[in-house]
Amino acid sequence: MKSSLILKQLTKSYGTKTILNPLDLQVKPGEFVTLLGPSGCGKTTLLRMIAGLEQPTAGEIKMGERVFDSGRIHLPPEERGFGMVFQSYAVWPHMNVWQNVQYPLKVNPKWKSLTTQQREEKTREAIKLVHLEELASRWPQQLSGGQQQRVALARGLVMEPDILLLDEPLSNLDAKLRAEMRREIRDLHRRIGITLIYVTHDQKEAFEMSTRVIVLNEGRVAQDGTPEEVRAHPKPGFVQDFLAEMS
Amino acid sequence: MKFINVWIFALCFLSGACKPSKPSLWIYTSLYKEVIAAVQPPLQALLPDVEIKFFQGGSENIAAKLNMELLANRPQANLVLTSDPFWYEELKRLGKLEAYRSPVAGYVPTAFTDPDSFYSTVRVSSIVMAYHQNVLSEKELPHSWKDLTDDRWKGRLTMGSPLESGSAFTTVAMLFHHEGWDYFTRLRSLDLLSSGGNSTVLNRIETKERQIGLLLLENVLKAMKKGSPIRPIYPKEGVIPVPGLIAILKGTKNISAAQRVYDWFFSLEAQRAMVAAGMHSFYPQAPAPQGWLPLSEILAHTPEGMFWGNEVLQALYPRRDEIKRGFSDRVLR
Amino acid sequence: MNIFEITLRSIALASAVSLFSGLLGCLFAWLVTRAEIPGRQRWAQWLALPYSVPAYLLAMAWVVIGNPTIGWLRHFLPAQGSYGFWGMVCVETTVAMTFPFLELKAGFEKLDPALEEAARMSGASPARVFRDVSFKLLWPSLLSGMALSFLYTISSFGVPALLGLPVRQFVLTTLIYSEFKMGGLTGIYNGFKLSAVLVAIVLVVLALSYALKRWQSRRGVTLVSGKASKPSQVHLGKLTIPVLMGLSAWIIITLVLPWTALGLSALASVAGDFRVSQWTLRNFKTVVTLADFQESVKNSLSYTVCVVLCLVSAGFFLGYLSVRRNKRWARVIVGASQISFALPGTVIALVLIYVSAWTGWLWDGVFWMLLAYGLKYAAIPFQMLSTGFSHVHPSLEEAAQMSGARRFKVIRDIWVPMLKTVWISAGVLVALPILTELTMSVLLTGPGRATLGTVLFQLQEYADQPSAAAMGFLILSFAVVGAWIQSTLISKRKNLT
Repeated sequence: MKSSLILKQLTKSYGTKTILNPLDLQVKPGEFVTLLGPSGCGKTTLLRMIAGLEQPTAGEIKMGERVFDSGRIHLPPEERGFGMVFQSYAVWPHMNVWQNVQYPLKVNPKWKSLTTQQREEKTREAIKLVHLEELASRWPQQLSGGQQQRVALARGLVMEPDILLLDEPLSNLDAKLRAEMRREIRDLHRRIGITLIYVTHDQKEAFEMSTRVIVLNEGRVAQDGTPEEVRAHPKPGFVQDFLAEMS
Repeated sequence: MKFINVWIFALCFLSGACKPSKPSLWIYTSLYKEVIAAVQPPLQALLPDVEIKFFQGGSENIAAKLNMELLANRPQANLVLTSDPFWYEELKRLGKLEAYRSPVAGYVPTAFTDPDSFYSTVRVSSIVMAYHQNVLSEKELPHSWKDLTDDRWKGRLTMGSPLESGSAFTTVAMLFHHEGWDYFTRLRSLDLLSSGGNSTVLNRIETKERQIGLLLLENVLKAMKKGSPIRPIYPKEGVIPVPGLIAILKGTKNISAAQRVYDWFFSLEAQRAMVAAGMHSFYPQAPAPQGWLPLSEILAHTPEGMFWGNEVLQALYPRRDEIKRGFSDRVLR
Repeated sequence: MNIFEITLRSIALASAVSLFSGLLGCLFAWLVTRAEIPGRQRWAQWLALPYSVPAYLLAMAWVVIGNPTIGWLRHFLPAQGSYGFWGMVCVETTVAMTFPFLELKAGFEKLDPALEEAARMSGASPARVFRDVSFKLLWPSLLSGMALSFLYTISSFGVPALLGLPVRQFVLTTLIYSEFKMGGLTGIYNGFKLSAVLVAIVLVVLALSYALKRWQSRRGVTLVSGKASKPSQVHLGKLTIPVLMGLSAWIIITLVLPWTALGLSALASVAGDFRVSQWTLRNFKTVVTLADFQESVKNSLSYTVCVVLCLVSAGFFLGYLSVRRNKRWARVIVGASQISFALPGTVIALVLIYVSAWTGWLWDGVFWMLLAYGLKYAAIPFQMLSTGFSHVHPSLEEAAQMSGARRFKVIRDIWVPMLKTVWISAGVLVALPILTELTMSVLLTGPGRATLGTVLFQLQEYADQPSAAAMGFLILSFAVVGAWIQSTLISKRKNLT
């Protein structure tokens, strides 16, 4: 039985500057949550704290019995078991597609007991999921942006993470590719049912793909609801202006 | 445009020194700056139509510099005044010097003059032993070069390196001539520290890194004047004389001026300046450097071996490389 | 003298130094860019400072600190103290480390942090991340830095002279020195023969590093990140204190110890007597009241400014022509400057004496001395500016051209201001070694042309050690403080832009 990700009174500040005001959030297993907001609203910081790449100034991050952040405790990212897809793809240029996707299975302690055959099997599956079978032996420099992003996706999914985190993954792609990838990611979510936390400033992505949209502004949750709710009844003030601007 | 201005300015600045008003006479020398300061004014007064210029550096730097100029066949130096007798002999044999029998340098003993008048001795330095007076008492001192081969000096001796210092080479050549190679093999077994030049040896004694050193007397005397606890030892066999030579370079345009400068360095005034800096002079009326025996006494004490003379130079000159190699093979490995 | 043995020793020394420099440089670069330690910026500054220590002063100080008979730390060191092969390796590494350190630090800073973060998210520990991602992507920078350490060491004279010769260990540079200075006219030929051997070694290393750069550019690896994000820091936990202690120890060994050694030697009234009761300011007085001293300060400063201006402007144009206009001859000149950088100063000076005598042109002037400085140190600004040009995207220049700007205006309005940090850094970085230069200066100096280096040489040869130490202390303080000010200004600039 998978547990929810719980964020309690999560705060982040650098010196006197507050990025995130105390925030409470719960992400149920299987949800596709989008953190939507303008640049500087704290969405990426929030995502990185969940990933473990940044440490909260105060507050807790838990998932069931596992405590990721609390007071003195800070579980490093490699021990959290979350997958992550970056805006710049971060596909390793010195490894080909196959090696990129296989890497988590080689280093993650969770998968240490796999035999080589099992590892190859899983890698193949992940590559199939993102429709890159023919390009498995290519090098990143030979791939387009969209293809590289799929490699990153496959790599994030191969280790069967509890949560997949995505940090503005489509921002570097052209409009057509973005539309295509939006569909793919939505399909992926429907097929595997994995929990997804997605950061973007593009409301099209938010409304088209996710099951839940959280609008952030200046380190605070401005609105939290299903895409239909938020679109139909945006809160007056910031949310209304923000959504109007973007359409 | 700003850039061009910078370049023009730079060129002007650089060529600043290229409009000499009078002809100049260049003297390359390893004389100390105080000595040059003392000799420059009277020399300049003597030759008002010529600008007397000194290039001052260590003997070895002067040799390297002048050798390169000679290689280019355009020596810029007109006179050279350093203290490596072997180098002067080499220059003479290669025809790079101008012969000149100075009428005023007759008082210099023939042993210290080139028989063909290509160079002569304008000052005499001496290699002595030295020690730190707070480290060794009078009773413990060595009294001869031979004494240094005693077991008790293991790890306590130092000297310059003939591969780095001209006076160290002269020292090695003379000791080799007097004692042979066994002497050096023995010193090596006593862990003789041979590197650097006179100032390095002085420093090693002052810091007590080593207890007995071989270096120039003038360094010791100068240090003593400054309050250093270092003291000289006068070896029984005699000090090793290191003649300071002067010569005129072949190809010097203003030959008469060069010869007048050559003469002047043998005058009482010049010789007094040498003595003041701790070197010996052959000039009959010049006193000895303060705190040291007069030259006549030094020369009287030297038996055949330590006695410097043309025959010694002629005997050792062809063996220069052999001496250097012999020393490196025995002491520097 | 066994030439083969000496050549081998030179190569071994340079190799050992470059190996240790690489290891330490790597470790330190990672610590100041990726580890969570307080004051990373400051540490980076201090770690790069030893570059400013002139080699002859470094050697002088380490004789005081480590000589086996009376050195301060002799009890902590093996029998030979700081003398001998390993002594030389350690002392040279304290300075040579800065080359790979700076290259890797720049490499880490340019590396897209997401590449490493993705590995961590995949489950790799920081050590694994370094091994599988960071090192695999940055090893060309490491090798490039190590090549510089190698070249620096193989041409170094000061340390082998003072720490190698007392224990009978010659290297190529000290043997070359001996041949030129003590070998008579025949010695010159031997000196040049040995220099040729040294140049051959240098050419091999340069060819290898050039081949590496070509291969790397063909790989077409773009490591520069799109999003300007701060990389996540590796939390060191319990290791934080030991790491900080290690860093402090390094700074103490590389900077504080030599500085103190020179300072205390300068305060001694008799060489070797460090008792506080015997402290005197007499040595400093001797130095400062020397007629030559004031002249040397003036000269060193003006010569340095002159040469730096020329080198930076030349480097700027050469960089532009070789990178942006693809002029082969410009690339060749930049490459050749690395050869002269690796040549011992003595050789450069003597060749120039030959040329100046042969041509008779401006023989008497300061020109040849400035040319010597320029030849020896041109590689620094030339390399930095070429690299600077290659890192900026051509679209910026193309934008200016599209708006109608003619070529020279483009240079003046776009490139000069864009590369401001680079050419200012290059200028300051090359100013320090020129300001404190010694081996070439003593050969090319003349009346009225005393420099800081020639005054120190004078004091060392003809005065007493404490006075020389006083001069050395002043020069070192000036160099280190100057370097510190420069790096503070540069980092302030970086934070503003």
